Amino acid sequence: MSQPFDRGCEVPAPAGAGEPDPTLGELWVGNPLMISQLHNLSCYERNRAYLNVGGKNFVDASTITGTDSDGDGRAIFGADLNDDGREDIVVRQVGGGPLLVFENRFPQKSWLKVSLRGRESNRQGIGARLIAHVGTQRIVRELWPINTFHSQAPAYVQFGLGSQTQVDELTIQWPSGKEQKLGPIPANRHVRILESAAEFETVTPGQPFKP
Amino acid sequence: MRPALSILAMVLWAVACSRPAQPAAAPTAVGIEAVQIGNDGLAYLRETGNPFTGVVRVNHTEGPQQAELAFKAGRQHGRHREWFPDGKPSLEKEWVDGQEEGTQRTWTAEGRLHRESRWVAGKPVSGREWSPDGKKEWAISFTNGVMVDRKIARNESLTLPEEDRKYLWSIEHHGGLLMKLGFGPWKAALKKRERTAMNRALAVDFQAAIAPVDGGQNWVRDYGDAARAARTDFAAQDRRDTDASGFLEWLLGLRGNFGDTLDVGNSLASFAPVKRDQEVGRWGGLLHIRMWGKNTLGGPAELVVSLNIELDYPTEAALEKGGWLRRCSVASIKRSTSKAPLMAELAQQMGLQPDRMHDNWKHPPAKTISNTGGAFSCDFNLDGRIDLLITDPGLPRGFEFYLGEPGGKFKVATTEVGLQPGPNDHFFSQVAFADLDGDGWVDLVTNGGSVYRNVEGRRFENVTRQSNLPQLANLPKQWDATNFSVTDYDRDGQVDLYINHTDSSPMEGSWIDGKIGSKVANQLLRNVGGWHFDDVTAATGTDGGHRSTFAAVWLDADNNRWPDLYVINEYGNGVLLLNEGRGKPFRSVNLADFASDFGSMGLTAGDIDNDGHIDLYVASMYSKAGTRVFGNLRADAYPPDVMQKLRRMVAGSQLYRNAGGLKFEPMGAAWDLRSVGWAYAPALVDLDNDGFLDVLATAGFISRDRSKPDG
Repeated sequence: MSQPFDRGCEVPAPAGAGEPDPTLGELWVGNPLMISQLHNLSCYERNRAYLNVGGKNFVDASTITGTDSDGDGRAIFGADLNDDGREDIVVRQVGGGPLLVFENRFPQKSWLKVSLRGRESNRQGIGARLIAHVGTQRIVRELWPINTFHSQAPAYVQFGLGSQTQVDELTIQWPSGKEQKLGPIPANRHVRILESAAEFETVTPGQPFKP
Repeated sequence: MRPALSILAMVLWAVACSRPAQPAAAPTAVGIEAVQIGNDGLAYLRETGNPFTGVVRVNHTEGPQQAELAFKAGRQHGRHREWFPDGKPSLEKEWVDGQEEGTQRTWTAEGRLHRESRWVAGKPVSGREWSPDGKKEWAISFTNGVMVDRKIARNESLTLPEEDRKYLWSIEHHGGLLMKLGFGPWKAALKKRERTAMNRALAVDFQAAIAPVDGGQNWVRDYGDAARAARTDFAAQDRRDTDASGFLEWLLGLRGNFGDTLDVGNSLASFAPVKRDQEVGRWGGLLHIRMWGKNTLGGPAELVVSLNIELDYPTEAALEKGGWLRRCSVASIKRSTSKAPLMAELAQQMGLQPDRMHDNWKHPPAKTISNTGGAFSCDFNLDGRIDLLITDPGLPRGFEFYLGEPGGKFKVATTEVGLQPGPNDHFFSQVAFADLDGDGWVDLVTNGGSVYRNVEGRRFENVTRQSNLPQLANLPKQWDATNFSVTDYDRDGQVDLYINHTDSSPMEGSWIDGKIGSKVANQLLRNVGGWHFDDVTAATGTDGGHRSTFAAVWLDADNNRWPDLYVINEYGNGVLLLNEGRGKPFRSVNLADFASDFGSMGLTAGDIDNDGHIDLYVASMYSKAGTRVFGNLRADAYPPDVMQKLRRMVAGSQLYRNAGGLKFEPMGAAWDLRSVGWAYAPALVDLDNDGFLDVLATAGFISRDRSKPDG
């Protein structure tokens, strides 16, 4: 009931409305920008997890994932922190637990993680498009270290492969304009692909590789 | 408001002197120069040294009278008036034996009444204040002379008629009554399986339309014995009519999926009289009943039943009497169950240190911080493991760097990698890891204005002095640098930066025009090597339109291989900026041809449906109460474009499905992704490795007290 045209406007309660009854969830603040100074504002809202149903719809899995903290959530990104091929979740909140890290315990499925090393392109392959052919499925991903609200996701691409055992063919469209095809690539590993190279190298966690 | 010190009193105090000895008769009117204030606070006539009785007059330097104050035996007593140089009154009050009493008034230079207050024994007890144009009025209250409340009492500049405001308030009030006295006891009865108590709410002629739990359009993710999540949307042909008995049996049957450790909550997504002009008649709305707890295996489970409801006018008496619920018709059912939680929170066990960080819930309201920092990942030493930088005001340096170790553990490595804060890095909230020098090792930039070179994965070296980034982006003075997006927009092999800026100027501008008169613009900075950048914002047309923007993402939206940019907007629609090739300006495109987004704080991009077109998910504000209120506005309360902009303010997050050819379909409602809450940041992550990206979203602004209403 604020004034749409004036952010500084203060609005009185309707005449005769009486005092707000907190037991009915009522409160009155003349300007919405002042609500959070003393009151709850969008309080105890649960973080959410929605599972993709084959690209056709989503179902709510917030409760069964256990990720539905009702703290005041802010930043979030996914990353495989324990190198088991399942993406874990990092969450920042301003209240209700400032840092939450959720280990992924979904039933194990096949996966492939891909890092890039550019030659003509930038060294991390940022902006590359990766197209995986997996059985009858075609999966398109872009490699960005997604920077959204107060966060940065890792600069690699993760392909979920379901019950497949390999990526039949992987096409990389490099920022340089070059296109590179590799495959098959066995599942359940982290590989690094050098621009224009015919082969890929497997990354073993904890064993540094050359830049 | 505090007791006003008169101009005269301040002048007299400045020339205070010792108290003279002999009392004597006083003249009735003197100039200010004739009196002075003694150490005892009394006014004395300079000539005689006696406590002053009479009137003191003060003139403006230009000549006209400025003030007139009455005294009795050295104390202010009687009328006190002040004037502007043009003779208009500026202040009027009364004194009794040195204490302010009665009514005080102040005026503006234009002659409008500005403030009126009532004083007793030298302390204000109540007051009113008016805006300079006289159209707004505030009521002010005091306790022991201290202002404790100042709230708006009248606002004639409002465009929504009082009748409409009362109507909206009445609906919300009756909705509150319904949830407290109606569905409150009802949900408690459902929890305890008290069929009789539930039946008490149902009217004698109650009717329902129900359906088997899977008997509609089903969407399912099934993990065999481990877990299952589903949503069923019901159409008219899926439902069958039943009576009170059949309805309760059906609902209690759904409840039976849980053991005794069950919680029940409910909420109204919509609510209003069926006919706008018949408040005393039938009411309707959409009710969500949420049940959650443990399943028979001890794992988590949840069921959300959405019912279209009809009921009698929900007064206190009607609700307490019972028999008020007339009809229920199932709209959808969401259900999920798993043998054990599919994810487990382990931050502390992993070696990260949340207990050292700021948590608003552990501090008094005065120490509330709306944004405490972020989490940023990289592979600092190219060992194939994720490393993390956490920014937070509770950490000693304002941040901590953690190196990834085997098994998902982390160790503090801030000192080890030589990451010392720069002079302005005591609390930076934003950073980005980017290989700025092209040596294969990710470097670091901060919104504190520091640039750190990664020296072969061994340490960070501060190279800020070699870089023009802080000056170019006006860091750290421009603390509103809210995001660095890493890209190579011109595909020249060097990593560039896009910097978001916000300028909230909270009390200025309009809620609905998409902008707030932001003085700052986003920046696209082209990496030219040697830690130097060129500001190519103007040449590329990528400033984001001077909106308030918290984030942006890069994506190839039109599949032309050039990185495009989507910039969200805190107060309206975002904008898609299409990269049409090196040296060419970006082309601006709207995702929607209507007012769609509001309150966008974060976003992400990815191919949701694996069709080869990158989609966008934008985190925006959703509010059930807001949806109800805006939904109950008269259709012609504002012009159509304003109505659309109002509705979007509370409509929630949106998934824009990229259908190719620069066509984007808003799928948030159909795919049930809108009602996250005050959403901040989403992420697209293939949680179950099935090849399709799942959606994660954070929500909630400020939570202070679970027993108090939500604003």
